[in-house]
Amino acid sequence: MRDRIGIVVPSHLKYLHFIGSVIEEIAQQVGFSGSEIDHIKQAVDEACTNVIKHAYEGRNDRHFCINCFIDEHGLEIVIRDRGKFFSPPKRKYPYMSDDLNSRPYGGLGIYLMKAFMDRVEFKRTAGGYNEVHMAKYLKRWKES
Amino acid sequence: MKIQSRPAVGNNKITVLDLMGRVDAFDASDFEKEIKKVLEAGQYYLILNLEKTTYVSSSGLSVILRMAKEARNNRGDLRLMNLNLTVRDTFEIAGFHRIIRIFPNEMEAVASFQDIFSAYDRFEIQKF
Repeated sequence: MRDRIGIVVPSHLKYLHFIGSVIEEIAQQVGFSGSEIDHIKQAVDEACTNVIKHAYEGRNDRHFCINCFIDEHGLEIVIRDRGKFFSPPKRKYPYMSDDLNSRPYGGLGIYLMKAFMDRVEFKRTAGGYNEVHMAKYLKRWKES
Repeated sequence: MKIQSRPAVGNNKITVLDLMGRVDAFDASDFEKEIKKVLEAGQYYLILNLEKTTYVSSSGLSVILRMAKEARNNRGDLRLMNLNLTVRDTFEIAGFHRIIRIFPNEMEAVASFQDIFSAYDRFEIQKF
């Protein structure tokens, strides 16, 4: 049995806080604990920020969908937009460098998404949508 | 998000920035504007107090990175204090704890600037 909860959100950064509250409720419902909930919220926040800033290039008159799929393994979140195609860089992120000056300003959002979730995938569908698929599995399922 | 600046307790050469609330991409531009004002006023000995900061996204981290680079390029530094567990987690995963010094309270953060002030004093004596 897989339940789905979906919301459609205007492409404005002012809704990030609202999205975080919804995701927190859902993650709690699934059975995640404190720090896991924070990680899921941050990964979704970063993904939605990318949609608004990069796929929609800061335009506030578009919409995107967030679909949460819940089952006994955990939570899968799919964020779908119709903006510019986004291809994540294949390079290894240099953020672990101890040198302040060698750290670039961009790209940290994707790095955090990958660090906080168990699976992150970027897709371009045949219908011309961008999709980010992110999954977080419950500890009890990972350990079994 | 709200930010207020004040002199540090025990050393008014150091500016403490009390950052309150969440810093996501929506708030990051206001955060950056406030930071610019402080840097443009020539204040480069900085402590960012995150005691009442509930969340920092990558947009907020980028502003902090800029602020730290600017302070160091002007012979100062940015140091952090009072991080809660959630915010500390983000900073550590982003590897920021290796490039920006973090302290548990204001007293220790203020005392840590002694290294910069001592080096500066030595430089001034040599010039003399």
